[in-house]
Amino acid sequence: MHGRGKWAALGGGLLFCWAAQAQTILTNYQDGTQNIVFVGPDQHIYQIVATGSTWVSADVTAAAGLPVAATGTALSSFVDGNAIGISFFGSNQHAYEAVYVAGQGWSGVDVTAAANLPAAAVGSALTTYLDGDQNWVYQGASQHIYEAVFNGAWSGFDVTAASGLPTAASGTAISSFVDGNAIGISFFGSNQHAYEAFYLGQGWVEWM
Amino acid sequence: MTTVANLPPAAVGSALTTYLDGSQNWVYEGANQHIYEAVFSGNWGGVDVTSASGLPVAAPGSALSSFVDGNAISISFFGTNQHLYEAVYLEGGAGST
Repeated sequence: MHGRGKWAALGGGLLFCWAAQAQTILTNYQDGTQNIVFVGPDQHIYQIVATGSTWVSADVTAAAGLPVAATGTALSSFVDGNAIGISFFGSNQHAYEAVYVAGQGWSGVDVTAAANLPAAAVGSALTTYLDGDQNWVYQGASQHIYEAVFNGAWSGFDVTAASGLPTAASGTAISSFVDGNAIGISFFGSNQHAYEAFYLGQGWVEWM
Repeated sequence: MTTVANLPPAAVGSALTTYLDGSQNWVYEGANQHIYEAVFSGNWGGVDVTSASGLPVAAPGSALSSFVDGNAISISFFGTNQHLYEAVYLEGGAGST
């Protein structure tokens, strides 16, 4: 499903035939249906959805009215109640989210601008998680880890500064989890050690 | 956690995956292309998953993925032959597929 292959008939007969990029980035999610999301050669975000025996496709970028994705962008997705979020970096290195709400269709938001955060570094990872709020995490050009949070209102945090952890390695992987009331954001430092910033409701702390 | 888990540093460009199974777990690729896991369950521990499972070394820069399925833990990566390998941990020991 990566490389320069193109989609052929899948399941009951799909017919979406975009050749994906040479290094296709994929994300997937389940919301009662199976959904696969990738970046097309025109830097649009595409979604294919399995609905029973039928596959349907959508140009998410066009539907949400968002700018095209940066070459090699990371992709992340989540399902939050009846809303679906698909996030990526635009060519200005802002994080964007295409949001689908059943009955309302697609809309788009500039996450970086809304959270008043700096742009991401070129090639930054992007991870998203839900903890009651919606959260986006990426690396800035300063090699700090930044987090955008939406809980009805937008806010942004410099996780590196708040936790006191060292700056991340350029191009670090980023991973996150929610463990009960604790949130962990992990990345590699410039010494290639794995670090975790830990949040327990009272601010970010360095975790070992 | 690399230090407290007594594990070697990650390779430059390593992927990173995390999962929860009652413990908190971090998985990455070392410079020797072994897959390492740091575990926190009140105390820190570290595991050389590649050695423990008997699987071949990972391709440099391999993608990594993990899941927890009941009492089984799965860590998947690509080998140097670009085959997809899975290290499986079941309560009581490690296995490989």
